[in-house]
Amino acid sequence: MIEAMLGGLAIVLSWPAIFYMFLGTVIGLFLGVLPGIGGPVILALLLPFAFTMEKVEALTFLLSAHAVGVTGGSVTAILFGVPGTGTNAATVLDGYPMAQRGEAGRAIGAALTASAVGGVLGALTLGALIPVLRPLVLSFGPSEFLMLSVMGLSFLSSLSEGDHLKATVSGLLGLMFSFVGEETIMGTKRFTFGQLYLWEGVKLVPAVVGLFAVAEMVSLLVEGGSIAGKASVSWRGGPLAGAREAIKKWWLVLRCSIIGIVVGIVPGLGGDVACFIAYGHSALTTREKVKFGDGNIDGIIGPESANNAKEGGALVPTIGFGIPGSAGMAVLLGALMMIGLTPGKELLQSHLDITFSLVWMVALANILGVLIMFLVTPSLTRLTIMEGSVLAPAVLIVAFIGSYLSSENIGDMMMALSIGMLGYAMKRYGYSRATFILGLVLGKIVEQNLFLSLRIHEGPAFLVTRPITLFLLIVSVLVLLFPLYRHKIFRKKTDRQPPGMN
Amino acid sequence: MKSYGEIIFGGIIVLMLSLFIYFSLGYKPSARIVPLIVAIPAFFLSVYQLYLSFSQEKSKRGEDRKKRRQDGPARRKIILQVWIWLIALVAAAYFLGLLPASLLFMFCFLRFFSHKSWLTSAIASMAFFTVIYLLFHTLLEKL
Repeated sequence: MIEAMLGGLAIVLSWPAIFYMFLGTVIGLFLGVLPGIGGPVILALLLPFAFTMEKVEALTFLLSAHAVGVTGGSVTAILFGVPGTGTNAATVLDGYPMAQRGEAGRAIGAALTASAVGGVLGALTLGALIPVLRPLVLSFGPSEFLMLSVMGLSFLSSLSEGDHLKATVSGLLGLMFSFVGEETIMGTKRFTFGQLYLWEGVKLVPAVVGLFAVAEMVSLLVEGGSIAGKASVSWRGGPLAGAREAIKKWWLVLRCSIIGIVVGIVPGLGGDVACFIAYGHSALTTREKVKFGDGNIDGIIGPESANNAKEGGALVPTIGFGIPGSAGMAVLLGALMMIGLTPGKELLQSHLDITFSLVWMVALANILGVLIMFLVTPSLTRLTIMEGSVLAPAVLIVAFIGSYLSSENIGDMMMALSIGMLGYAMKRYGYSRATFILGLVLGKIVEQNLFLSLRIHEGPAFLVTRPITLFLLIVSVLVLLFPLYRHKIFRKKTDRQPPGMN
Repeated sequence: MKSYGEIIFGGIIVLMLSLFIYFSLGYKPSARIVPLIVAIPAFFLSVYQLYLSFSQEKSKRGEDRKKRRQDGPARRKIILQVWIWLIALVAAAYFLGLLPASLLFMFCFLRFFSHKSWLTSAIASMAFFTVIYLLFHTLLEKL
């Protein structure tokens, strides 16, 4: 085992693999910044180039690019309120308000540090789980998927600091929007009004672009001025301060990384779920005075740790069985087979050094990506003081292009515009966009797995007979009720624990 | 004016949820059960929220109404203008293609909304167009 680990490291650090890791990281960061291009799209775009490379070089190139896509996306989420990928949507909620206060550098520093730590933890977990992959992945079935999604929905209560009623209405509205399209069990077309475009339902990328990018840029144009009145562009007051805070909150980073890893391991849930569960968890446990949604730094640290950690988690079922943990992993799986590596027993037994090299690639690419972004952050933060009426049209055009690129259908631009109108009104009148997106992401997963679970287990008894399901149900109930007793718990904890521990 | 807008938006949400319920009733049982479980409580909650918005508006009626009137029409005009611009962008993308629409939109927006000079608008829009052309058309071959 140790020989394979060291062998894997030697593979990654050899020439020209290390060059391709650097190249893949830079390209992945750059593409991750563009809205609508992330995860699977990055891999799909780079796959043709990988055909011309040797086995290890191709793998290093692709995996490095994929691992850092969400890191790049966090920067635009903070600076412009435009999430680079769907998994950066939660970062917008508190990252953009921080940018509006002139604290973009601090927010980005915290995001990058949390991303690096989360990414490395995800990679290390992958390495640690290699010997126990099979029983771990096989222990999750539809009932566990259902309860994980229900647990995600239970965070609706924690994402609604302030107006719980409006946030709940938003979340339920998001759930209703998720039911648009072809129902997965019987194939019934729901709420499509005869439109072929709506058969696929409300797609996440145009929805996120509309809800956040369009709404925020319209708001900027209406209010006038720039994103921030003034921005701190110094290293000390900006990125380094944010990095220090993320390190200080190491316990939050660890917890949210674990959330990301677990969600990443479960095939089919997707990274969007991880970031919102982590966001909700951060909202439940924050001790910062700033309200969530107004620029609370925990609202950045939590989702960004989870985002990057989930990549390591998603590799677990992908290389263990050839079951892709996410859409991006599905493309990577194709790439693995294309270069002659078959996931599963063969990869784990005959090519263990290559398996461990994947672990090292994810870890090192995350660290490298973060270092590169730290270098360019002070320059990027200057964009927040640029005149809004000049910046906003450029951002809007790129955002609409991003929504178009998700499936190369003009309908996606119309969807982004329509949801943008909804998002602007939600922002203006105090309805939570976070809970809307949470409902949109989780609705279909809940419905599909509910029906599957009821059919497979012939009734609802699975809720108490399956241990993992029961555990997740209990956690969901506790999370739902947490806002009622959180203040009592934190008052007691503050009396007992030393300062600095979150 | 924000309160009137909030009431209208609340009403739109109630209407949307009513339509969701109405159309759900026409589907097969397996297709309608989960939407109805979600939509019916959502409908009642949204109606209650609308009632709360009405109550808040009534209680504020005497206060700063003059200020709200002053803010209202000018702001509404800008909001409407911005949305018309965005609708025009999407329409132009549909009829002309995304790249030409991007160039046209950027130039016209800078000139007629942001009130930049003709030269500044032309240079900025050409520079921006060059970047997105090279990126999305030449490099990524997506447009």
